[in-house]
Amino acid sequence: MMRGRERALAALIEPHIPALRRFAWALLRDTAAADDLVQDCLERAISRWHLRRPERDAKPWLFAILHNLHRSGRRSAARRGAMLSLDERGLADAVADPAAADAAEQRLIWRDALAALDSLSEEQRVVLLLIGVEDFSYEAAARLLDVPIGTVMSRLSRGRERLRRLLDGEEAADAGRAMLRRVK
Amino acid sequence: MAAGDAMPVGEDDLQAWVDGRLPPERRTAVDAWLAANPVAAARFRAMAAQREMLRDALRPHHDAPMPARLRVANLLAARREAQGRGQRRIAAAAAWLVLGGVLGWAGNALLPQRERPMVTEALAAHAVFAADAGRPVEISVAQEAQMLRWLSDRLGRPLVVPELGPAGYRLMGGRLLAGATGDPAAQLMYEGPRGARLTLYLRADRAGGAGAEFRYAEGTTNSVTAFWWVDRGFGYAVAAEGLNRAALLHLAEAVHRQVAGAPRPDPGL
Repeated sequence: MMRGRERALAALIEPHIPALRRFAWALLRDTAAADDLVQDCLERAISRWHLRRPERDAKPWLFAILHNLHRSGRRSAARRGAMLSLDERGLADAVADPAAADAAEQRLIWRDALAALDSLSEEQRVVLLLIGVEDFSYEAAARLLDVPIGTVMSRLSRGRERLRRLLDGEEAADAGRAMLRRVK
Repeated sequence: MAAGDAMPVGEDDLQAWVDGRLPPERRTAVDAWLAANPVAAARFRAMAAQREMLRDALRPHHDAPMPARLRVANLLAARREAQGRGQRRIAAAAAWLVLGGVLGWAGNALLPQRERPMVTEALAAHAVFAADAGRPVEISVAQEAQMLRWLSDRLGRPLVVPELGPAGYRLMGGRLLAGATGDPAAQLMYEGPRGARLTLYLRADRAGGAGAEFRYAEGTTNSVTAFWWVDRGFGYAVAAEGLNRAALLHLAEAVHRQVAGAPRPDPGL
């Protein structure tokens, strides 16, 4: 039975689920753990729907719930390590089939980008994801994280600079880069 | 600078440039600044490229088909289900309270209470394990002391193994089971004449509506019968299959004398 109110709820929430899954995966690097986090987020959103300010878009509200759950939860254990499997598949493909080499090369670039993201601080990573990937405005990201906009801008600027140095090899001696090298 | 009164280019402008979010006139100013600062320009161009790289790397996780468990309709259904369970549980508890009151008022159970979970479990456990030729018990009588310690520990009270030798039954061993209430339960198994099996099933049973008098129960889908009683929050059931009622009562009384050390109750048949 799908009541009218429930249909409306689905119409407001479901369009944001793909982005929530992407954000959760970027934080956790594990599909099952990410979907668990998204499910927790949606359950909480549904149970608190009446508390939401209806004039506002549901997207930042949902992201704020997910981010708070992630921060408060014991969800960090799944991080690190899980990112490798996809890339090992890519390498195997490249050996077997030269036509897959480009795709494998692409995946290696992605892997480096994600690994570099992983070596940023959690605060920088979240800001880079919300703004650079999830297309939140600087103001919306500041409201969502409940920090001043200046803080968001400085995390963004420092996070991007650090990411650039990692990816351009300027921090080759850095622990973060050392981790990249170890990763096969 | 593009205009004499333009605001100086700041880090926020440059990040907005990376994000492609500058309004056209501001963008012109920043482009001019970048053209004059080629080293910085290379840095910010790299950042813009890396921004795209991250978006590409994460896009598959956005575009992947969504698992059905995340559908709002399914989450709502699960929520309704959970709420329904809670309400049903409350309703059932209320019904039991009313029923318990009525039965108590009516003079202590004129009706057979086959539904009592402890008894249902005892009958089922007898049917399942007494028929098991290979492994009727989990711990055999050879380790009786160890078994007693273990079961006493799990049930949270010192257990006594009734001696039924005079009645022709010897202990085979016992096992730990899970009661429907989540309480651990123990089953002791005895072997009698011609391989007949007798089991004593016991666990905490705090549900009201029963006293220390004996009650008789029959399995609904088999010929297992039992005498059972509840004594100070603990339920006992003596079960057998194909044993006449008088013989079973005699055994139940023997068990009762030893586990309770109390005076023999009146059979409430």
